[in-house]
Amino acid sequence: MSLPSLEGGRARREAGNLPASPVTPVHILVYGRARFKVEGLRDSQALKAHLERELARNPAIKQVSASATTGTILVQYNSGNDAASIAGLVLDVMSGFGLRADGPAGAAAPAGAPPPPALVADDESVAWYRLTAAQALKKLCTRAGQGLTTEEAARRLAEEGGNLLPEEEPRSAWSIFAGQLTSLPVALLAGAAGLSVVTGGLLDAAVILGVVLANAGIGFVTERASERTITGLKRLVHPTVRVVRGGQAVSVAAGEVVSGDILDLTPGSYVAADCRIIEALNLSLDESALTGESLPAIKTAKRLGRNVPAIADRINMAYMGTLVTGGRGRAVVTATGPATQLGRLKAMLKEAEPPEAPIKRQLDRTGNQLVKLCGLLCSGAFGLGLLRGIPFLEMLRQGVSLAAAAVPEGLPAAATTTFSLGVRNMRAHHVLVRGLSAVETLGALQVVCFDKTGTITENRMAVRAVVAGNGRLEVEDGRTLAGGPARLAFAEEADLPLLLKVCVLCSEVEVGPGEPEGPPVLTGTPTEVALVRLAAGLGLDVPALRAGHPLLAVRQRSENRLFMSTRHRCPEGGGLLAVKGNPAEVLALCDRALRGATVLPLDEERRAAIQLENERLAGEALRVLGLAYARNGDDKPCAENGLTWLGLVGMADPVRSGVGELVDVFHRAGIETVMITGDQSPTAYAVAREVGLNPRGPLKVLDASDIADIEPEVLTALAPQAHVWSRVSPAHKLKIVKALQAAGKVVAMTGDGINDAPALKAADIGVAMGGSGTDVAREVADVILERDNLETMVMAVRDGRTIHENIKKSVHFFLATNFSEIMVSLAALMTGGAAPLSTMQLLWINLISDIFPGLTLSLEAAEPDVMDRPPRDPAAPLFSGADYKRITLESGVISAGALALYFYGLARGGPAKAATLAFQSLTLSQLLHAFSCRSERHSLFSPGRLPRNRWLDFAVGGSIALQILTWFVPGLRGFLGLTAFGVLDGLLVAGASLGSLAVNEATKTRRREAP
Amino acid sequence: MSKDFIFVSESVTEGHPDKLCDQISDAIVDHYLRQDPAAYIRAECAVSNSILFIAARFASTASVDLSHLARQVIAGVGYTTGEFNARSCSVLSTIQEVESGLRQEIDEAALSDKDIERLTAQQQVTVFGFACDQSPTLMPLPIHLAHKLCRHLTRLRTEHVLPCLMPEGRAQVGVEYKNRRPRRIHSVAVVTSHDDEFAVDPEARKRCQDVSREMIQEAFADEELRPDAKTEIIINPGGPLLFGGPSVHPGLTGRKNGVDTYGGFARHSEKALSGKDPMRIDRTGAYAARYAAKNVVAAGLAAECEVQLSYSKGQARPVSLAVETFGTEKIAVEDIAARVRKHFDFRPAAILRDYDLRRQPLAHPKGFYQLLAAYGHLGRADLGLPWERTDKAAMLG
Repeated sequence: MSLPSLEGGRARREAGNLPASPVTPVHILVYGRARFKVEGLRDSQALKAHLERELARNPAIKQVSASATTGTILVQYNSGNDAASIAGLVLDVMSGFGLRADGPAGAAAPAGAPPPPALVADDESVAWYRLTAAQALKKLCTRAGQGLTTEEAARRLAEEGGNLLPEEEPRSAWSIFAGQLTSLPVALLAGAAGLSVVTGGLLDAAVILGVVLANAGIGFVTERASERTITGLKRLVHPTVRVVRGGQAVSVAAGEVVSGDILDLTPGSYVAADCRIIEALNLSLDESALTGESLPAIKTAKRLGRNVPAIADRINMAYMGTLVTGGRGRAVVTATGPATQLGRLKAMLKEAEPPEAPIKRQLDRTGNQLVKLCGLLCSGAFGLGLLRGIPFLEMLRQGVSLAAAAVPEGLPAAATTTFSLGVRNMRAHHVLVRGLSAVETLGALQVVCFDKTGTITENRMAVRAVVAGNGRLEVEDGRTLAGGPARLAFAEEADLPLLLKVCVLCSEVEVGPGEPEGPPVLTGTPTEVALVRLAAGLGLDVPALRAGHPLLAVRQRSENRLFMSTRHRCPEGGGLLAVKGNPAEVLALCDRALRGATVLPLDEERRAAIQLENERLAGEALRVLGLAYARNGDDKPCAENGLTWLGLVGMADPVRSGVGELVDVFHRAGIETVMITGDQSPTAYAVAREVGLNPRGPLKVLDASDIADIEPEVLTALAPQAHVWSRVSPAHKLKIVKALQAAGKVVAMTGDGINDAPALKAADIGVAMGGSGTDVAREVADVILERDNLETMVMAVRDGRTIHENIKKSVHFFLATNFSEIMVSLAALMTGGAAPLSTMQLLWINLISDIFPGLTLSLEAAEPDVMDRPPRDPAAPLFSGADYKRITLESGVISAGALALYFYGLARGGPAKAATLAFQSLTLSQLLHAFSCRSERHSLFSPGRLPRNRWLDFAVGGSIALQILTWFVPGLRGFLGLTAFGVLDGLLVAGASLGSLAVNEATKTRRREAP
Repeated sequence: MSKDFIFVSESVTEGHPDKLCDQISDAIVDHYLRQDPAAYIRAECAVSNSILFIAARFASTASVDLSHLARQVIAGVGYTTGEFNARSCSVLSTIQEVESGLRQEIDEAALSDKDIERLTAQQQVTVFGFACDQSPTLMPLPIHLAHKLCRHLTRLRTEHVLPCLMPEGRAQVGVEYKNRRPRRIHSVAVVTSHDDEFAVDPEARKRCQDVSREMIQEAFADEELRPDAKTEIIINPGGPLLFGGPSVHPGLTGRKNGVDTYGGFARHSEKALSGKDPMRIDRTGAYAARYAAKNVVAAGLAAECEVQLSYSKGQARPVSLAVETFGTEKIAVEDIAARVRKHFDFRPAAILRDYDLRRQPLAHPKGFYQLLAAYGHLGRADLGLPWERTDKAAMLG
């Protein structure tokens, strides 16, 4: 389920201006078909059916289709009628509907409502919000406690259809193919074919058509494949919903919800259908998907007494696509699928446009400018040719073919294809990307905001240090460090063993049998599990200890008693009180301390030392617990004071291994890293330092429990400064994202919780953790890391950058080679006589040297240093002025080589020979130029090697082979109008093309060195 | 300077934003030194609206929760409600760890004289110490009285004598001098800050005037000079401050040098005293110079005494030690200077040793440097400061 954009509000308002006459023409320009807006048709299935039935009977009408969603009717009529007469017919039929006694109430929606101030509901046939909850339930024939029976639900499902939003219909194969044929180059080629027919070149015309079809075929195959990939993006999540059926709460697929179902609304769940709330306890909903309001809306079950047009004001309704952010509630479904507000909104916005990459718009713009330029140059060539005395038609055909060859066709399609290949590639890395724009944005990413817990750390606890009477013990991975014992003698009555025993006794960890030979399975709170794991790791037999000290009583930790105590019976008789909790509070209960095996009085000095130690551990970002115990001779409960102090334990959530390296990778790639955490700042600081969030400068920590207090401008100024945001609640992440964006950054945000959803949505790239994340987080995210692994995030960024670069490489290649064709033609016409490239030759170039190398360039692997460069400026155009200069220079070099041979040929063998040499040299140079286009930075001469691109090798190799065939195969030669070709000629051609490649590569190296 | 004049000094309460910054900076110094007496630490703060900036540079084994500490100080000062409060303010800390070589793991008490000589001054600075017999603390009378009034003002708030009082306040005392001796109290001005309940309560304004007047009388009760009939007593001349504190005006560490030292009556180095560990001679030198000046006055060698010490980088002993007594000397000024030179050791490490400055925070669980950061670093009778002792007076005399 994807949510529509908020532009819906605009569309909705426009549609809301109801026409004055009941039937107004919408589109009647095409003779034979007319579309009218019909008053009262919107939302009235009955009127729709009536109109379709009645109009179809009329002999004047061929076909009719009405839409209750848009309120329009499309009529195809027979000749002899016109739009006005058909409008009259429709009006007649409509009036017949009004007269019918059984006309359903649905048509009686009030027309001419005042212009709505906000998003206004498409009025439902029943104003559910004006009914009481009981009335609504009754009307829907359901009961709050029982819900529908399973049979009734199945019956309604069959009747109403699934609770699915209308999907955009995928484009048919035919329409994709047709799309290939409706482009400027195709039109130009068709023109050239037509001219060929006129000038008697039937064969030429046939060949041209063949080229057109071949081009279209290639475009069709790639575009179809990418469309399939893109369509697949939508089906990433399949949400389920809790409903009451037959008195039982069950989970059903969201698509099977029917009207009358009772929905359970719990935080973090999506509202699966439009519904009337029947129970609400502090229920709040995020309705931003429909209303654009980012603050949660408070909901109630009360009836509203008046007419409420705005969805945001219908506080007893919950609409499909909104999100429960707090509280609890129950609601009865009033509308499902296309009948929901969201469904109607979507139908309104339905566009038949194929999904496209955002870069496509940029390419279209670039393409248009180039078309104009090519047009200008080709007309110049045409004029020159006429001046040179070439016959008009012949020259026209030449000019048009030149234009057809030079216009950079298929660029946008190539871009979309590249993106969809990228999406597939990322999926192989277990990165799910939802939408092509995300791929592009990934490449321009400037700031990544990480959740600390679960993303940077492992979200578990591990003991790091134990301070018992005799000193401090460093622990890592459950093992002692720095000369500590690997195992302890637990039989001793000394401080450390006793401390660990108290840890084990004063805990509710359950020890389950693990795998044989393996460690036991511990279940409980992370803190307690960490303690028991340490004790077990040091050789304590946990089950035996527990069995020997049966538990008599537990007092849990509470708000004003920050420690937990347990009473046990000792095997040797007597009782044991084990206490664990807030160090200050536990220490206050103690009057003596255990040091080694001796009990010492706890004087002020010792107390101060313990407090200092506690502060030190806390300062090391550890969660610190104090432990104490007491013994008594009998079974009477010990008093909770006069305890014996045992020591402190410090724990931390360990940093995931490899995160430091990943952060470093981001930094090298010029991407800033920001950590967001609800922790206190020393914890945050310690983690940030460990992973190196700012290795080169001071670490800036913004400790802000209430960001809402900061003025937006100040926050915008502050946000790019902070490396760490501590004590931030997930709800504030949205503000952080917005502030960073306001500061001009392209922001990614990771998250997995319900509260993260708004921030994920607002971020340029919302990143959800696939394994641990909630459904909601996954649904709003642009990128889902299936393996919860940040490494894949790096891969995604690299792929994003590579894709963008590859598109640039392809386009670069197309531009450089196409320019060279124009240059050669123009130069030859200016200086020599005939146009050097015939139509056939231009087509050959178009088919052989352009497409396959260009397409395979977009399959380039990532350049080795792609992650060592700063992100591109998202606002910069695809090609800068310097890039265009460079492209012109490259095509100049290629043209110069070809022209040199042209003039050589002119001097040695006449125009035919010259043209042959020019054609061969140009084509070969262009093919070789594909290698030059593999990188803007790396040349064939620079030391670092690019990873091999077999596709490109194959494409260029194949094309060169075909090209060489034209030297020897007489038929082909004749077809292309080439003269015979000697060994010397071959060497010259090879030399010219290799030479131009060498020059282009050499100048590239220089350009790279000069900044 | 004429010998007859009026001198006005001002002090501010701990709720003043500048002082708040000083206190947070020094609380940071305290906490670092408490965990690690060898710590190198510099802490500066700026506060505006609801944002506090902390810039800390340190080389230490200690780790301190800066923002938590800052919130504690803010709450301790009394900002627990209102626009700027300890809970909801935002704290941006810039934390920079510097090379650990700056940490000085030295026990000055165990050093030989040669070693102390080797530990040279790290800053080039001229510091001043001053003392005079105008008040029991041997401080100039105007600042002594202004501090006293500010403390009373704070007491009104913490003991809830006057409701709706906010932490910021200031007091000014003008003293009329005749022949460089204080003769009468010329004027007393007090500014209080209040929350918005005060603004809507007409009774409160009057009550504030009454209580403040009473407070002034109380503060002067044990003073020799008291306001007379002609003394101008001004309470909230421009109306009381609404809220006061950082939500009204910003604050910065080290901007209240006059309040920290002698109220402008004597020279000071203009270097901030707060937010620096005691290895900084521009901080400890001011204490040492005050110690010397105070002992000179206590010994009765002069009624007023200013000791000037100039330190140069790379030398342990001050390159210059000058004494000025403003014509109040009982023996030759050169003689006083010679005695000061003989009995006081002004080398940085010696100052650290004599005042045990590294370990003072450990000995004072409620804070040592932090308490200096409001109501003056000098002339404090309440803290038992080593540089306020007059134990060398006998030797000098």
